[in-house]
Amino acid sequence: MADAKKSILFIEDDKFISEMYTRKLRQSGYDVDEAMDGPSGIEKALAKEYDLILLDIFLPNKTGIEVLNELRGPEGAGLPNTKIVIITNYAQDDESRAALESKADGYIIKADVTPKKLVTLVDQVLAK
Amino acid sequence: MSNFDKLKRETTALLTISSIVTVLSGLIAGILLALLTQIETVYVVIISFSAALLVSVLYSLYLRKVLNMPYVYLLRAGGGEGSTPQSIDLDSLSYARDITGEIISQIIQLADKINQQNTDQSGQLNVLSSILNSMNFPVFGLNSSGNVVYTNQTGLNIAGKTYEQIKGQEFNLVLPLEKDGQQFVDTWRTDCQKNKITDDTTWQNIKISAGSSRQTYSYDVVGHFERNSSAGVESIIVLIDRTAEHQYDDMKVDFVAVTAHELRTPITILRGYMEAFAEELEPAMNDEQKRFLEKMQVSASQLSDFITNILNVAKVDKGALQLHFEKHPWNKILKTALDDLSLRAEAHGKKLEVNIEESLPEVAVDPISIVEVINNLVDNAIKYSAGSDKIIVKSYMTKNNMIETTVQDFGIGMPTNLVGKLFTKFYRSHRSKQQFGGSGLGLYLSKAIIDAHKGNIWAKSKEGEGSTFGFDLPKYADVADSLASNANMNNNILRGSHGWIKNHSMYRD
Repeated sequence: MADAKKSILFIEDDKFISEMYTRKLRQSGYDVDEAMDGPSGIEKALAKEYDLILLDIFLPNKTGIEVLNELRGPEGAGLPNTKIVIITNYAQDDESRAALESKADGYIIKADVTPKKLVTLVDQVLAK
Repeated sequence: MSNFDKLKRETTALLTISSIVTVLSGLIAGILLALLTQIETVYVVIISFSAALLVSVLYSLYLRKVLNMPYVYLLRAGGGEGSTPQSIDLDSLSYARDITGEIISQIIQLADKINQQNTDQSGQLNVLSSILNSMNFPVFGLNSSGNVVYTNQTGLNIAGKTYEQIKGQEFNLVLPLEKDGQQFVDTWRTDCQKNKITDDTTWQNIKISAGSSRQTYSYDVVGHFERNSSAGVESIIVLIDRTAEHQYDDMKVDFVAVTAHELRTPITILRGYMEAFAEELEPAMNDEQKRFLEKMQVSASQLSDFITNILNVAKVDKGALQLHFEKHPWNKILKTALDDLSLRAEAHGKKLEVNIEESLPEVAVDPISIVEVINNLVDNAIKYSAGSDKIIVKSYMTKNNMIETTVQDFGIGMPTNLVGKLFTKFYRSHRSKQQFGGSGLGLYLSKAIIDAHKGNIWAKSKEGEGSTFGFDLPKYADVADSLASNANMNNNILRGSHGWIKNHSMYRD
């Protein structure tokens, strides 16, 4: 069962996808904010401490990987109380896997994750 | 015996037999001719014998040319004579390994002889050095500690250092070579020192960044190990440039990845909103409408799986399919996969009959890819079982102590002589092309996955009666040791068909 106090920032430029997932997450009791590109995503992430950031890769102005690196910093210690999960339809490159496993808390393929399944995975990531 | 030695032996045998047969034929022909004509027997026999011998010699020379025997001539120690090496076809990888091993063996023998003779061999050493420096592939000689004791000019170029800088240094520091996160040269050398007298091996598609621009090159790396070599060179590493060939595969994977991304985006939206319809509108739907929605969901799911298949096939072709092995009870993996597949089967009017032996042992599997194999086999059974609604799935221990899983349908089947081609990429029989859609990729991919699991996949079929597809897997206990050092075993990551998340809780979906 989702904790109603948990907050999520969804950084996704495709409005259809953003609406679809955000709708289900809100129905499940999460407080969800949205950002449509990398720079506004970073701005919101630094202005408020979110429990989870869902981050697309192919974003305007700055890619999701650049956003991840900027938020986590070179040592990977940035935003220590915020989980960051990449949510994308891009098949993960083997060479980037190690780097992502050190800074991200998950890598999800959207086409294999319906809104209901996303809620399950979010519950899992935020569970203690 | 190496492939090269086998080839030489077989061809020599062929030449010898051909010669004997030709000569005998000539003799017999001569004797018959003499009997039938007035000519003196002895003259006819001599002429026939000579003609047969001449034909035999010419035929042998022709056979040698046709077979393109790639003899490589090196300096003969002590003689100073030599011949120019003939061109070597390095396109065949095992052939390249054998030829390279042959060259390296002869170089080592030559170096040994020079050492032992302890005379001024500077002339021969200069020639040897010239030959190695003229080779356009890097050669490194390592001692038993893994330090570089020799390299040619191409080796210095790729390392970007001078000979003084690398001599005596650890090879892994001079030229770090990694595959799957492991420095494989050290692992291989250690294994050879424990278990082998001599060894030849190859690693494919190893990436190296070189040059001032740090461009990435792709090499096949050949290793030759020789215990107790008195020349002090215990192992030799040779790099064969495959950048041009692998670049095409790399570009293909990037193109496929971008295309898959674009195709997956609308699928994401379709699946997401269909789920919303199913949850929120289902109470208002009649049975027929519910079935429509179910079929839409199944089709979207199949399309998503197909895109994943294409991505994986591109990776297989590139040699880059990376699997993550985990210990799992086989019953659980199979039952979970079949639960999902039952819905798909029902949507097509089929029923899955499942018979799984109790207490099957644990296996080491990549859970995502092994489920893809199960999906592919059951999907094929659904597709090709027209006229029958039953599909039987079984899993049991075999006498060889492997866990075998079979999928049997009672559909159209196929001629036995076509079964062997089934696992070829894009292969689809003429009849299946006429009746069904499909890409011919599923079985090709399934075979690659099962091979990587150290299992076997097979098929048998009878036209008009149906087909059975099966694969076996080793028990976890039988492969645990080899997996212990595998860098891909990361137990802190929970992987699924959707991707991965870090193990923040004990819950697994």
